[in-house]
Formats: sequence, C-alpha cells, structure tokens
Amino acid sequence: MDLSLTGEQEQLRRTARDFATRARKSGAARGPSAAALSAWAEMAKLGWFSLAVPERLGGYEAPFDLGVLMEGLGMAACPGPVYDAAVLAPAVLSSLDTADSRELLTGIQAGTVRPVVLIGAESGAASTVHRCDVRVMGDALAGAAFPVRHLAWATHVLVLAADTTHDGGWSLVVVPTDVTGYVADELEAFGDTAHRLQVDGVPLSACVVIPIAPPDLAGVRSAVVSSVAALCAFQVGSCQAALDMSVAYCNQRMQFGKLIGSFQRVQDHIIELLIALDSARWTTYSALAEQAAGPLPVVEIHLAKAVTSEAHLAACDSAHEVHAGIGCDIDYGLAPHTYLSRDLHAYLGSPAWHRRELVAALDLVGSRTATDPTAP
Amino acid sequence: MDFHVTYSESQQRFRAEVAQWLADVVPSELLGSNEHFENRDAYELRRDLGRSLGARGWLYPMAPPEYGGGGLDLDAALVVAEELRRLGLGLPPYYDSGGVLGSASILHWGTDEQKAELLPPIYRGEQRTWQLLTEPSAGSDVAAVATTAVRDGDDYLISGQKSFIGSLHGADAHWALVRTGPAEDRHHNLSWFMIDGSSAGITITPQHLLGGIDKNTIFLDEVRVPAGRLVGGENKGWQVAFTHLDHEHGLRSDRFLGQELHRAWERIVEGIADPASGVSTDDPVVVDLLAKIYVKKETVRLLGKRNYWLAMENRPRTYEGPQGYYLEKKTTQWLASALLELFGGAATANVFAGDAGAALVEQQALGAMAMHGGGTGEIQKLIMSRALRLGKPATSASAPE
Repeated sequence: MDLSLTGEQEQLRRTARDFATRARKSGAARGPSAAALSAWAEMAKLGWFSLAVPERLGGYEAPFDLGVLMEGLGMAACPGPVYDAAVLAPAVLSSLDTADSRELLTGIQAGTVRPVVLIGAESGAASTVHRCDVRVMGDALAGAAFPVRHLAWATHVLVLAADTTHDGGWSLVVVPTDVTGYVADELEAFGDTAHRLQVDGVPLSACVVIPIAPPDLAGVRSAVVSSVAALCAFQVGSCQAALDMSVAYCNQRMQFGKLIGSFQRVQDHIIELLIALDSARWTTYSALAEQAAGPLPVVEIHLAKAVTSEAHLAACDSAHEVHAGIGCDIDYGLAPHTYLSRDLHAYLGSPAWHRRELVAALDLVGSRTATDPTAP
Repeated sequence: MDFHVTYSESQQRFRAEVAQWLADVVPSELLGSNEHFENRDAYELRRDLGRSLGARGWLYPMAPPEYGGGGLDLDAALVVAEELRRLGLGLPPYYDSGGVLGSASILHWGTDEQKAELLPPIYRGEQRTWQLLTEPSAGSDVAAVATTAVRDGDDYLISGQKSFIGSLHGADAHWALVRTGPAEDRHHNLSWFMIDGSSAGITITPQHLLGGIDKNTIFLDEVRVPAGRLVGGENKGWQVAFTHLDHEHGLRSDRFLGQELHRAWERIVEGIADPASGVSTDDPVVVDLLAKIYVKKETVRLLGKRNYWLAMENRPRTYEGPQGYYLEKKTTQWLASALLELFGGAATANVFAGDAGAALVEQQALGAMAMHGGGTGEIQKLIMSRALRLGKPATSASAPE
C-alpha cells in the first residue's frame, strides 16, 4: 500500500496548474484567442493528449497520471475543451479503432484536432449534454444537442448519433465545425459560453461516419465510464483551489476587529469544504488507482462521480460563504470554479445517475436497475 | 498509488494460520452476537478468547514483545484484524478502549518499571480497563475535571465522580485524568493514574442510556493509589491524555478497516433480502438510499485508510485524524435516519425473520449517540481549525494538499 504521489506526478500536477493559470490569465476563458491556441499546441507537444491513448495506438495509456494532469488543470479551471481532447475523445475513438478513428486520434494528439464530444442519455452511456437527439437521415444529419460548452474552440464535433441505416443503431459522426447546415446559437447561460447546436441538413459526405456494430456499443459505454475518474480529478483540483482561496482569505480578511478565520462559524464552512474536498479526492484516487492496476473498476468509478459532483458543489458553496461578497466578483478568481461545479454536476452523469449505476454494479440481491436501452 | 496491502507468500501462510486458529478457538456463541446485549456467560467467552489471543501476542499484535505484545509489523497485524473481522469480531474482541488507549499512553509516557508492570496484563488480555475521563461538569472541556488526587505519604488519595464509563460486566482496572494542581493552572494541573479496579472506595452504579445500552457512574471516595501508578509525572496529565486522544482520533485499525459501518452495511443487505423487511429493490427510492449508504460508508473507509497510512508511515498529519473521526460520527448519525426511511417501522423494532434485525435496530441508538464519543463533533472541528491555523495571520498559513 502506498497512498503517495510520485515525485514525477507531483511535478506534473504543478506544471499543469501553472499552465492552466497562465492560460486563464491570457484571456483564454473568453474563447480561443491566438494565445490560447498556441497554448493548446504546447499541451499537445507536452504529450498531454496522449495519456489516455493506448500504447498500441501510439499513446502512453497512463490512467493515474492522466488523473494527476487533470487535477492540476482543474486547480486553475483550465479553459477550453481540454477534457474532451485529453480524456473523452481518445477513449471513445480508441474503443472503435477504425482507420478513421486512428487518424482522428493522431490529429488530437498533434493538437490539430480540437474535439467536443456529444453523447446523449438515450445511448445508455453517461451523457455529456442535457439533450442530444442527432440522427442520420438518408445522406444527411438531423437534430440538435444542447447545451454544448467550448463549441467556439472545436474544429470537430464528435456526436453519438442514432443511425437506423445499420444494425447497430448508432454511429459516431465526426462533424467539422465549418460545414453547411452546422448552426450554433448561443444560449443565455450561467458560466462559460453555451450553445444550442443544430445539424439539420449537414451532409454526411462532409463528415466522417463510424458505424458502431451492436457488440461495440458496450465498448463505447465502457470507454465513457473509463473517462469519468479523470473528470472527477479535474473537479478535485477545482475543489482544492476553492479551499486554498478560502483559507488564505479567512486569514487576511478583518471584520469586527478580528481575522474572520477566528470565528467558529466561519471555520465551520472551511471544515465542510475540506470534508467535501477530501471525500472527492480519496474516492477519485481510489478509482484512478484501481483503473491503473487492472480491469475497469466500475463500482469505484460510479462511487467517485457520485461523491465528487456533490462535493464540488458543496466546496464552492462553502467557499462563497467564507468569501461573502468578494467571492461573487467575477475578477476575484472563485467564479470559474463556481461555474465548473455547476457545468460538471450532471456532465457524464448526475450523482443520482451514478448512484443507480453503482447499485446495479454491486449486484445486490434482486436488484435489476442498470440502464440497458438495448433490453427489450 | 496503490490502495492494497500486498501480502507475501509467508504472510499468506500467516493468514491461513490465523484463520485456522480462530476457527478452532472462537466459540460459535460469539459469531454474529451483539456485545451490547450479551449476558455474563457470553462476556466470559469473549474474555477467554482475549486471553487466548493475548497468549499468542495477537491481542496487541504490534505492541513490543518484551511487554507481552506480538511485535508484528503493520501488514501482519492487519491480517489478524481482518480475520477477526471476517467473524464479526473486533480487536480486542470485547469493549476495551481503556486498554487500547491507555496502553498507548503508558508505552509513550511510562517509566521502564511502569511499562513492565502495567502493560503485560493489558497486552495478554488478563485485564479489561475502563477510561475515567468525563465528569458531570467536564464533558467537552475535559481539562476542567474536578476529581482530585491528594498526596498521602507514598500514595495518592483520589476522590470524585466520573460518568459515562465502560459497559456491562465491570473492569479489572481503570485509568483516570484527575486534578493535582490549582484550578487556575489550566492544562498544567492534571495527572494521569492507573487504578486497581478492586481498590476500596470505588462505587459503581449503572447508567442506562438510549437503546438499552449500559454505561456507569463511578464514585471515587479516597481511593488509595500508589505513587508508582502516576504515569507521566505530576501535573503532566494533559500531555499523557493528548497521546490517547490523538490515537482515538485517527490511528485505530478498526478505522482503517471501516469496521463499524461496513458491518452495518452487511446487515442492511441481509435485511433487504429478508422477506419480512417488506423492502423492494425495484423501488428507485430504495435503490438511491442503498447507494447513498454505500457511498458514505466507503468515503469514511477511504479517509480512515488514508489516516492509518499517514500514521503508520510517520508522515506529517494536521487535521486528518479528527476529520476522519468527525465524518464517521456524522455518517453513523445520518445512517439511523436513512434506515428509518429504508425500513420504516422495521427500523425501530426487530420484525426480521433472519439475524440482521437486532443489529439494524441498534443502529438507532448508535446514531442518536454518535456525535459525542471522544469529544463532541464541535471539539473535532475545533482541533481541525487549529491544525489548519484558521484565524492566524496569512504569512504562517498553508492549506493542505
């Protein structure tokens, strides 16, 4: 048993945090500026988009290190679709493993393809958007997905689309973001920019279509599950930032002639924050460590997301109680974490969704609760 | 990072040896039995088992062999604890927090003579020890105890009243935190004594708590204790107490194993499978409750594992011990409400056909009483806040990672 990070992992976490801090300061949060895109190329050069890629496909296949990277990036709420590029898209594409998916993987690893992944709940996999009813209609796509984050960054949208033209019923359709019929309307949103994406009439000839054979759908679902712990790690980093900010603030802010950290009712908020953080951290580390050691630890992964999404929310709420007014100032630094804690709450499954999957995975007496859309 | 203890071949053999030995020695009456409601005969069976474990050095597997401990390393000690857990038993297999916590303090603060005299009876299971800390006017503020020890020749005379003590069936010895200095010398006016349970002047009256759980009030009337039983020196008792309070808040192997909540979980799984429970796992509300219970008990287990690892590796610790303890207490408190929701009326009266019912009903008492053990939840939060240096100028503050 060894619950420590290696020296290299601690270095990776620091590097990632410093990188994300610079990216945020450069204004990347407002969209993909020239500076932000050069930062993206740097991430690719550092090999960060290869950590989730299997060795046989030219990657590093290092689930725990990937978690450490995401934790570091989460500490500064790294802007852009870094999770899609570093974790989710590589996992989904690797599970399909066709000539097209390999080519896309190469582009992602090189930093030339910036993907946003759209998965709806109807597929039975953990969903990345509230609604995704995109389907193949003849020689074109139809439908919409919303709300979609980071769309302004994307060169390609990877959408799991219903497809009745083959037995599998589903295809992964890779949509370049400059094709005709691709319409992104900005939504009024809490947090980073969000869009409603409409793909009616997007010609399939302009897209890459990877049909998913019936047995491969389970592989795609597993790939999505295998991506969840690294997302949790991103949230853990964000919780840590909320704690660091809160401890520092309560030890410098004076009210009633005292540092506010000396008031027990303020201390209570810090303690709740720290319990949330550590609950998220250790369930996440447990899932990552099991994932690095052997077969997909489904129970530990559902446990981690069920805990971490709630913890992320609680951590930011506690941080706001400590900071009061200044925490809501958009320039102070807490806001990006507050936004993330909301954006990611149901991303890849709400806590309730993961609790249901957890009980199914535990296989308790008589429980038949798994989501299985292929069942009659 | 690796969450698993890796056992070598010789350790695997040791596990088989322990399992076989326990299979031979543990009487069937103790399997699945609940200590809180056992009669004297069952208690004596537990003590016999304790003495058998003690004779092999397995009652305190990591304690120094020269005083009767097992001298085993952490991994081997965990094997013993895990094999006992498999049988639903703790280590020691009966309530003896006085022995566990007291021996840690004696080992740290005692003189060589005191260790040689006081530790072997504990490590060998010959003695069950109660801790005398709480008083009617000193609960969370345990440093405000009013029981006094007055020097009388080669002895001290101890007088006062201690409450919420022990359990059923008595004890062979006690340790007590008492006052030896003036009231104004707070934290420097306390001393820590071992007291022979058969001393004249000790009166024990039962104190009945929620759920039929029994504690005691102990009256001490000029109880004569030899000066050699003063551990750590006169007016140094607060330091001695700190050793066992720290121990209580993070170091125990039952925390590492997440023992109590895991046993409750096993009973719950048994309970929902019991046709008499009337619970249907087709009900999404039931499924969600089960998931929440599992999630919380696993979170507590993982923080306990972290704490045990930090302690055993001698890594720096600040807030972690009281944090794990606080969360375990809050979870035990919450679990009682979750069981009410899950089982309805069957949570408060044993209507089950199988064996799970008694333990499930007992969770109501454990939940209602969860928050005050080892200091109230507020005390744990206070210790955490100090460890985090909250309210201290920013220059010296550093947040944990």
